Amino acid sequence: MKYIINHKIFIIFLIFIWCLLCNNFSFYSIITGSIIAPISIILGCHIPNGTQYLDSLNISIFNFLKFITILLINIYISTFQMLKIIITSRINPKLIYTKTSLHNEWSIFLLANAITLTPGTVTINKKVDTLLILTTDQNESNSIINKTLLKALSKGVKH
Amino acid sequence: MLEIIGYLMIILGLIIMLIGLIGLIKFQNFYSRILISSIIDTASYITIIIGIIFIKGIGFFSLKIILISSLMLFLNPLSTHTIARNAHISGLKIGDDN
Repeated sequence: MKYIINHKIFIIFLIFIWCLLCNNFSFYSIITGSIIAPISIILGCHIPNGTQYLDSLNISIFNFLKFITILLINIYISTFQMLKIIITSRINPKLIYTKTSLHNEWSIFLLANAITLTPGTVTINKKVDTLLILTTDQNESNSIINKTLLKALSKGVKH
Repeated sequence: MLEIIGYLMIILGLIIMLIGLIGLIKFQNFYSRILISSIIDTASYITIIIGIIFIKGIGFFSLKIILISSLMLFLNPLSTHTIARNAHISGLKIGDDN
């Protein structure tokens, strides 16, 4: 029972995906979805070491959507910078160590994913809360991670 | 009207993909290439997906497309990260492979 209470938002998300794959939002498919979703959550929690990661995932939906919107805007801005770099063919990649202020494993994972998604920056390595980033940016290491993106992420995934 | 916007978005995505491919051929370094490849992976991919959603309208089809694209956005960086990390661990320095 405690699994279902801990993961209620995740279960609603799984029911939504089940109805989407069944192609209808009828009463019958919602009932079958709400039977299958908790079973898959409980099975997921019984994988060795699965519980500690699933328990710490606590997302607030509105702030997470805000994070994704800011990420999409960032992707397009840096895409046009990279197009300029390709046309002028002035590229000099370099490696930079960056320390993040985040402590949650899930939010560091999402931050590293967001950095790799943005054209022009790739996360290469992670040690606790220090990320090794490959970048073309010539500025200081503080400006690689966007401040508004970091703020939205720390609100979106609760600690 | 929405269909025209959708086709324009798809054309924009293909143009971004073309410039990315030109960049892949133009630069010879491994690290430069892996930085440029994420243009094709993410930016042009997202633009084409948004174009398809504009053409088809909101329905089960476009919701499934959004599901697939969100999965791609989670899984695409993993492959890029793995390739770059293995190159770094195996000792490839920047500017070694000119």
